[in-house]
Amino acid sequence: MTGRTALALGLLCLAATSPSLAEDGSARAVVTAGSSAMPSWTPDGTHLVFHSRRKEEKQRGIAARNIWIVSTDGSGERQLTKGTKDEYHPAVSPDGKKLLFVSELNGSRDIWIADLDGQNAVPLTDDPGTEDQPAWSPDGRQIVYAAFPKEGGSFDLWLMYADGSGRRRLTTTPANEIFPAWHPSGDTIAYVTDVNGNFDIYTIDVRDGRTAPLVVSPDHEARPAWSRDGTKLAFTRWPAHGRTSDATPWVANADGTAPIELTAAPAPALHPAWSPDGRTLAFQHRGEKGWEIWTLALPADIAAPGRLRLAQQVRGGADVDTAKLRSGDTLRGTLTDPHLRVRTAYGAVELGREAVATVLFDTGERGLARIVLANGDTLSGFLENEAIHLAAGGRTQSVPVDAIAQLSLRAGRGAAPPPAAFRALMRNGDSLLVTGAFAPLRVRVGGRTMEVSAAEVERIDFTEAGNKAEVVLRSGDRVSGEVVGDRLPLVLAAGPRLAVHPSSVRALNRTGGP
Amino acid sequence: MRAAVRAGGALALAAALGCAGVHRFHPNFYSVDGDIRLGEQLSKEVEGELLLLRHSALNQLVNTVGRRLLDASPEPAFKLFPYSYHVVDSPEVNAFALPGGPVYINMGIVEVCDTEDELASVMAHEMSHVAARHATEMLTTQNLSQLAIIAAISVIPIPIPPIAWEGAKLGYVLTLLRYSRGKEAEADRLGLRLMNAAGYDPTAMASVFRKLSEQQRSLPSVVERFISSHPLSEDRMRDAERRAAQLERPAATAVAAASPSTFPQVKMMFAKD
Repeated sequence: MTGRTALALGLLCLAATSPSLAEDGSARAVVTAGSSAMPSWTPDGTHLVFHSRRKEEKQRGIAARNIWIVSTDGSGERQLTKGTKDEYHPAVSPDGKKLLFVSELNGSRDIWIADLDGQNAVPLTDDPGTEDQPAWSPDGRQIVYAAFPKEGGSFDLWLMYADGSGRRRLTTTPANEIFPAWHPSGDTIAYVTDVNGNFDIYTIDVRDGRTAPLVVSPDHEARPAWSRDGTKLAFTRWPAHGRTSDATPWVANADGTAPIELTAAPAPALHPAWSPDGRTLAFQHRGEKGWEIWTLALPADIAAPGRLRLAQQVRGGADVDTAKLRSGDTLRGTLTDPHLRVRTAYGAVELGREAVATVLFDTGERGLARIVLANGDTLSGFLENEAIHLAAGGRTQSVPVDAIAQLSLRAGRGAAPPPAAFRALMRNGDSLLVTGAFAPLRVRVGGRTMEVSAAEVERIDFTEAGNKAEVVLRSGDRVSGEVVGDRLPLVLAAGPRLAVHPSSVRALNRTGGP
Repeated sequence: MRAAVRAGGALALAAALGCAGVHRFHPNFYSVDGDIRLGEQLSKEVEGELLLLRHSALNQLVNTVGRRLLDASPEPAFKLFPYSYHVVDSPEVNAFALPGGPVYINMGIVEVCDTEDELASVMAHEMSHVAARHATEMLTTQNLSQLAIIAAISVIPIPIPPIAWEGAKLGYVLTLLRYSRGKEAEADRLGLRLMNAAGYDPTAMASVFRKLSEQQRSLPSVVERFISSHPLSEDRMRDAERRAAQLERPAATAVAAASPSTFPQVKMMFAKD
């Protein structure tokens, strides 16, 4: 057996024995009966409305999709519409009293409205063309939807009042504008467009029709959904040349920055919908028998109000450790290695597992990694571990570092790190938070040797050769002179102790107290 | 000796009937032009009862796949017919082709397909029925009176059995397009070669068959009509897998460029799930 074959078999075994993600408490199935999709929350957050196609619902020769409701714990499932043709894509009104959906009862895709219990259903559009993907305005007075006429063309966004009156076209491009989602402010609508070839997310200003890119990448982004407070956007992303079966949910700031992949959700995960309290995403996942409704409890740092940050981004928002392999596969489990050893340009660093957020092998050079620590530090160097070890399903698998493209580790649960006093900017570009516990810097000035303690220092700039330093003291005084000794002991806030040559450091800048 | 005489007789009959197509020795009273005219007439009938999606990207996708298949066709018979490709907004899993070229693909079967190769396998199969002239062969050999009924549907209000929920004319036409296992097997074989020549993955055909077979278990009514006109025996699936494995793949340079509208995007635009 070759090493590669052994690796492949090993990885296969790990994948086969990985526990269900539902068991780790972050993602779980709510509805698995029939084929169920497109969840929408009731405003009180207690129920999910979705559409489903059931085997037993054979109506005049074909099982039609119909609208259903279920408690978020999966209990009390109830059918709301009993159409003989497909009825799907439900959207509950902001006041929780009305239900929008698409129905094909009149021969083509039309927008219908009903009471939340499915009663008193009437069509709002009755064109022979296609009207699809309805969404409410935050005040519940208007509806945005995607449509194109029977004669042909591409999808445009249209607006109408909730009684079906006042229809007006919002976009007029030859590209397709689809999957509108109205921002809670009422001013803009996020939507998906193929104007750049692939799917990207743009916004359009409802008042003046001006459009702006929101999430644009070579990959496909689709099905946007705003959080109730409007500060974050969830969407679905899949690779540029990949399949939608690879689609995963992402969240980003409302301006599209800091996109985070929610790797705890099983792929494919489509059509994310925020719970009203912003702590849970509902989505549809393709199970063995059909689509299923799932919910994902968002990691606390993502669910918290405010902007998403870099450390969250590199963590991947997951509550498991994730190794993305060069083969394209993803392994999930718990990293059992207590340390990662990195040989940097300024010395060897042994990093505790708790300190590390992400290891990226994206330079193309074997073993050369960029490492982002939980506190935002960045290092680059050669990872000396030949393999890492992931535990899942009661067994541990060795994964050669050469096979890994990216390693994302869950947030550590260790003791709080000591406060950082300085940021060390290293000559190779690394950025490290260090404590104030470095030994006094000895500087020779005019034939005399001075000792400068860390508590006095505001900033130190080192020359490239490392034999000179300019020290700015907290008092405002400045000292310039020759550095005595060839080792500067530093204690990283992330834990490791280093003794670096002064030429390795470009500057030490105070960031906090002593 | 007796078998040889029978074979000789069949050859003589085939020659007398002047059949054209990808296979031989099958009587067909229609000319190629006759197939095309009949297809045109039937397309007017069925399109009155079908909701066609005239969406630019969707039509561009099926036209690009169809053109790619046709351009690479190893069989001259494929190029005798003016193919046209139409997408029907029906959740029912089905696809069918009328004689002479019109190919209809339901959104229901697009939903089942996960890749452009799988869609191409459905289209290649239907195009093969056209090229092999299966519809008019059946009309010739089985029941000529059906021909008269089809021609009369549009002008004479004769009673027609309530076969289909879509409408009587469409239902009747679809019933006529139920082919024998031999004809289905031939359309599979020709379709596989067509796909392969066009640079599509021929294993996608068996992959679609497996998915349809799975759907037959989970949502039987949705695939009922497809299964009734395209029986999915285990033998047929295995045969598609075996033949795909035996095909020699064309050189990459001979393969036309991929479609400009990617299949996952177009599918997502119309996705009901």
